[in-house]
Amino acid sequence: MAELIISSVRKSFGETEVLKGIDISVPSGTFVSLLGASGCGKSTLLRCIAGLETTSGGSITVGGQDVTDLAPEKRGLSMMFQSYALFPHMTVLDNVRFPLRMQGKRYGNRAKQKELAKQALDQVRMGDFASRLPRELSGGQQQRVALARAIAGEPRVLLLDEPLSNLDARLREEMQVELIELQRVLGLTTVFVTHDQDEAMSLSDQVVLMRDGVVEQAGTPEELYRRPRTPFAADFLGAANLLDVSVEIDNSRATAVLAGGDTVPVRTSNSGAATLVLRQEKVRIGDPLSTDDSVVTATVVSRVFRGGEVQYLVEYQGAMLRVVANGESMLSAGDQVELSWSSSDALVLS
Amino acid sequence: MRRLKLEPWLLILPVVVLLLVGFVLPVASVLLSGFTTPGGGWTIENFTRFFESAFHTGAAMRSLRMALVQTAVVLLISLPLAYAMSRASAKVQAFMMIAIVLPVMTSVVVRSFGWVILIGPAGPLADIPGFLELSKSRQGLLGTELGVNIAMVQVLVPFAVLSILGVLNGVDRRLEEASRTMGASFGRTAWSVVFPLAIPGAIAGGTLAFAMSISSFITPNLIGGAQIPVLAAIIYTDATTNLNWPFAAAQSLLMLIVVLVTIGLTAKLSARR
Repeated sequence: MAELIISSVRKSFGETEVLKGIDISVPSGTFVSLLGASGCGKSTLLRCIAGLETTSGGSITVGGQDVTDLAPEKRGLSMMFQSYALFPHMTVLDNVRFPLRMQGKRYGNRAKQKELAKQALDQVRMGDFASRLPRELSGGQQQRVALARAIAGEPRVLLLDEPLSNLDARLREEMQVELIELQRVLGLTTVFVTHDQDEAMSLSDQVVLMRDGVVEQAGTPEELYRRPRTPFAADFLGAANLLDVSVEIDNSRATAVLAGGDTVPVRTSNSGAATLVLRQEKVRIGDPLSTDDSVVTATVVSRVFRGGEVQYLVEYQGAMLRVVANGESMLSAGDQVELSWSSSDALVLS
Repeated sequence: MRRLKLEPWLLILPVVVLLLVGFVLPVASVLLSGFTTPGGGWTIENFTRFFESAFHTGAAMRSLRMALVQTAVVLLISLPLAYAMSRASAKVQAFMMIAIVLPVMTSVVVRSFGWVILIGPAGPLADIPGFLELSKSRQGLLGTELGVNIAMVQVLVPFAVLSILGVLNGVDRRLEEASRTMGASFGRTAWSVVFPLAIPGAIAGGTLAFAMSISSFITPNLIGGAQIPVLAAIIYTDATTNLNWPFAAAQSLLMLIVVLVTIGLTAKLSARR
């Protein structure tokens, strides 16, 4: 396992600059997600790390070795694709043995390679399917095989390109758990590309949020969720309600003036125009719990029943806010409600 | 529901009629005439004459050998060429496609005469010491099997390239990328991943090249001439110069059998995969 350092990596396709100077360092054995909307450059970055794209500038270092200009097969990495990319003309066992075969002597003779490939298959509970062809497997099974193949060659860094996005929700959760267990057991340095913030948060040690070819914010999932530095980061990681406010500071007490003229206490030291971030689960609908809470009046627009909870879309001075209430809540469109939150849960981004 | 069963038959009816009238009946009547005497009676003499003639069996063996050599060389050239084309940019692929298809649009007679000039005693290669002595009559590559093979390969390559290209265009590039990240060089990726997946196209292209090669007579005639008699050219002469249609028909039937057996074998080969 090795440390991966990406420093000021740039990539242009013709006139279009897709990566505009990316710096990321992935400590050995950690799981890092590259998160972002499609077109943000996360997949291009992964392909640059793998060597499938040449960089236009900057450097990539694996375990202290500069691999920036190395051919993909000489980097000692492995990559798992969204489409799995299993070789259709080889059995499952031969697919998994492929990286061992390509690395030759290091893994001994044919029999030894087969034994190691079998072990990798057993690790993903696919040992019984060794002699099948990929097309005879379900999507989830193909995915396990692709994972086995990716780890069989003991890569220095494991690269995953949205490997779970083709699975149905249930299988996906199951695979997330297995993936993370396997990664911890093997101590694999892993870079995981995804557009799904839940997946990024539940799997990663570090999340790198990308936007338009630059790193918007990087940190642990908790850091990104609790202390987003920009409205974009706040909204991308866990749906947030964003309100335009103006902050006034008087005697070191900060107050945000909302669109309707309501004022609420906030914690910030910068005055002027700002964005108030309210996580939907932090906003209560109905009576405030404490007298210190900020309270505003809003109108219910729609109600969606989700079993254990009810999600409301409410309107406050032209802005739509999402709030959740418990499953028994029976408000209907047009009802006037009081929204309240504790000032410590309101985040101000200037 | 009966309508549904009838419709497919109605749809293929025009083709069936066309094939029957335009292909099956004429070919059958020609082949049947191989069992007739010039007078009109039934006989197998045309076949016994063929197998007793060393000239004819020798030409048949030469045809078979040359067709196999040409098919092998055509595949060796076409596989990498088709691979390069399938992975080139759209612009380059279009240019290469034109370069490949354009010769096919030229008459095979014209192309063969081109080769006659190029590899003959008056051509640019004639100045190379020893080149003229390649044939017994000091004609360079004219009148040699090698000369015929070279010209035939040029005729056949486009067909094999197009068959293989069709298959390779459908191979997911991620497979190659996956292979590269797992430690396989470009060459090993081509050998272990791409070419095995191109086999159906290679079988189709190879079969096509073989059938076209063994039945061609224009290029072998123009370049090989009388020194390199091939079966198809002999059939042509028997039919048009000697006007011995029954004998020509008998030889055609034998050639058809060889081709059909080859196609049968390759079909079986590709079905096993």
